[in-house]
Amino acid sequence: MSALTEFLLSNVVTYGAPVFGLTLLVAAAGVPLPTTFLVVAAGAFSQQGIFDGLPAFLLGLVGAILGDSLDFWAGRYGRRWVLRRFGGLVSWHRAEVIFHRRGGLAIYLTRFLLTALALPINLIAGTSGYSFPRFLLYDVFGEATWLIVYGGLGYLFGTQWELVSDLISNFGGLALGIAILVAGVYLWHRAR
Amino acid sequence: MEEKPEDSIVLKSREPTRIWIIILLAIGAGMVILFGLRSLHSYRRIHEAGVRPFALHPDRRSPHVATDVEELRPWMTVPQVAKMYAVPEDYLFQVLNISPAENRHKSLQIINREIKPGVKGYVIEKLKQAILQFQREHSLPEHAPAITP
Repeated sequence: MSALTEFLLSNVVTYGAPVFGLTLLVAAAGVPLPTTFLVVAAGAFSQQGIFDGLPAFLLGLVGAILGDSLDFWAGRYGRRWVLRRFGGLVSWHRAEVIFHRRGGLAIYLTRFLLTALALPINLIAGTSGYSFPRFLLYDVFGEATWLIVYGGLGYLFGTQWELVSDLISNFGGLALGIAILVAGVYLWHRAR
Repeated sequence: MEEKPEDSIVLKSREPTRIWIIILLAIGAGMVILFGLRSLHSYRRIHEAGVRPFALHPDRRSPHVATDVEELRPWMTVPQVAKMYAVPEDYLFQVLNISPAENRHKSLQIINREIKPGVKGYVIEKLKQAILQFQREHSLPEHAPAITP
């Protein structure tokens, strides 16, 4: 476990839900922090009675949504520059159309399964002119799924949460690898 | 001579080249192999450790109270340890001979650095002995008392 993870865990244990929510906000805004690990830990702490699960869930949800919204608006702010640079490309227009059609699924899945892609997806959603209320809707569902599923696993496995968290982290990497492989195969077939 | 419509958008095509697709496939395959093996290893570790939802340690009488002192970690705080093992906070602070007011927000690692800088793991070892002794002398309650902030 890294010194940063230990520092975060100590502070979440000591100061509870507000620090948990703040950490998720900072991470969702783009700072690489081990948040899935922290969510599993929060579930376990809740089972042990170290802190109350409901405020942690609510503040965590608010923090994650605020962080994602910051990315979205950063993307929206940069839209003019991106359009000037890439707006004339067929691939950009095609990507925009696809994102408008399937972006909801991408937003939902990157909240809890392909978490490494959450930040780029938030930025792309903002840059591509995707509707903010729609983004928010999928974001709320996705972040709630993340907190309930992983926090729930921490709650179920209690003091053994570290082992479970390790499996989740590796499984996340595997899911991302599969997604990249599928994207590669798709592009290969299209290029032929 | 060909005429170009003035108000039509001129779209340029820039398809990903084969080399980039091959790089993408190689990264994907590498990640699948690496994380696939690591996931398998993690699953085996969980299986070997006998981890189950709400699993009870042989000595544990309540799912809310821990008894295995090997679960102590340097990032934990004294109130958290007290809560986990259903041991009074004051008793643990007394064992470590430190003030509760000044140390309740510090991690065990920081406390260790302050009271025994040269001896790594001193605080954890001391707490393990104290918890085991307390649990031998007292029966475990069904629910541990709440942590006061």
